[in-house]
Amino acid sequence: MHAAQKEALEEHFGVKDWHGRSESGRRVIKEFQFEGSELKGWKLIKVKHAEQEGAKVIRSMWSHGDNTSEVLSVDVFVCGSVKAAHEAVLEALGNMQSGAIERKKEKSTPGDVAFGLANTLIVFARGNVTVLVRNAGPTIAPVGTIARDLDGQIQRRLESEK
Amino acid sequence: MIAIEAIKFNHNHNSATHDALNIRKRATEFVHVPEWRRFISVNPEDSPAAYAVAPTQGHRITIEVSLITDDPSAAFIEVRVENHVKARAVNFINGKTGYAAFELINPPVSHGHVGIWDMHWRWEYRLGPHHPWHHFDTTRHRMYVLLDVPTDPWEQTPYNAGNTQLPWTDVLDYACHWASGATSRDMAAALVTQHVYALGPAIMTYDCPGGGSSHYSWGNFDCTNFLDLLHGGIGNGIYVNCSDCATFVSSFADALGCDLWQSRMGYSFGLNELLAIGSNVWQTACGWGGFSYHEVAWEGACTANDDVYDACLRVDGDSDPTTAPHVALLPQDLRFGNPGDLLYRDRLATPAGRPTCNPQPGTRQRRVVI
Repeated sequence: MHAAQKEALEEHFGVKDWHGRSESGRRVIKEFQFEGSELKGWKLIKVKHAEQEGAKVIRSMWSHGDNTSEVLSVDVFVCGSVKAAHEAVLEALGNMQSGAIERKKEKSTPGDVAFGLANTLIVFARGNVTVLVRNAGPTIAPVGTIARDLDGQIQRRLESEK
Repeated sequence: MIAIEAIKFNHNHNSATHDALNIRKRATEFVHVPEWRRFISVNPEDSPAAYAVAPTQGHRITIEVSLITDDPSAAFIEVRVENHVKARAVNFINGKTGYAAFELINPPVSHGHVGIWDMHWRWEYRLGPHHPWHHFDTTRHRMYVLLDVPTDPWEQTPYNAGNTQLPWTDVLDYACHWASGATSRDMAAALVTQHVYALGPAIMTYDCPGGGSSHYSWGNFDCTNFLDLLHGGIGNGIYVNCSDCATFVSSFADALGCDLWQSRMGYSFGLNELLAIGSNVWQTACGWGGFSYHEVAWEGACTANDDVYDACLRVDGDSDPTTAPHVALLPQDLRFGNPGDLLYRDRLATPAGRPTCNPQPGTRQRRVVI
């Protein structure tokens, strides 16, 4: 990311308050896969694995049952460390134009840190994993519950890495 | 029986002056030479060839053709395609001619503008100058005409099946159609910009629910999924942002030989009311008030003195872009400008936002196509 943009993002999103901190300590997940049963009521349409800036990226598209107008895009970044996962959060925020995206701090917010817009977009990091949940179809679906479900699954994985 | 066995359009991989360019179909499929093969090539799209106007100007365009016969008495014959392929004599040895160079007559690239031509060639032979011509075969080909050799991210070398940055005919199908008739780079880029913007709202729309996030251009350009969306598939979904649109425009225009970059401006500035792609409501993007950044297809060094092409939004083109009424203007070949110039910057950003809506030429890039 361009240094000037990163500087602006770091200031806007109060990076000093959260960067590098995680409730998961040093535990890390090494692999992540979608098999299709992870999001209750949602059908896995396609999944693609890639590498991006040192992270293993799993890009997936889900439809609400057979309703192809209600589609979610769920991207998971398995990074080498908590710090790298938080850099991935910044990178995601650096590819969002809206000036209205805010840090989410409600009790039920997923992840060690999360940012979102209403209930239609969320990016969060839990341990060394960053997750971006977005709408991709014309019928808008709320993303909060799905993000919390995924966060729970990641937390359980991190626990099992003890 | 006399028949065409194979035709090479791209017979010299190191040159674009007398023959076709190095191309592939898509990320996963190469265009093998000879492009046309007997029994295998049926439809025009089975035999694609792309030519560039600039390097071929003033040069003869040739193809290489291999003919076969099962007539042991056949030796010398003349072969042509009336109005398309200049007649020449060929010599059969053991029923084969090997590859013989033929000159094209008035090929599409000589017209000097962008387009796609499907050619139906009716091959004829005669036994000598005083004999009548006889039809013996028909071949079909698709010819793409570009203004110049495609620029980065598209490549001509290395020429092998593993180079996914060779120009894709799946991209040229759209780019040549969108910019059909263009005789200059600016005209081609403008036409591509208009057509990308016109994809909204039927095909895609600005990503209001996702905070204006990149769905096709985060990292590389996911052209495969963009093409899937254009073909009616799900792609990466219907939402796009400015980086996506800048990448669509520059990559497709650069496939025609334009020279556009993807580059950003910013950071954090207030917006005038605009029409985001897919929307007919004048408002600051999705009602947010401001952009943290914006990205466009940009010429040259991507500075205030260079022209932009923005397929993501239409700005107010009248004498006061800060208030209604609005006159919709799609920014194409429009100078970025400085505050007060009433150019792109003033039309996009509020007076208070203009000082932080600065060109960021350090972000200039051409995303790799995947």
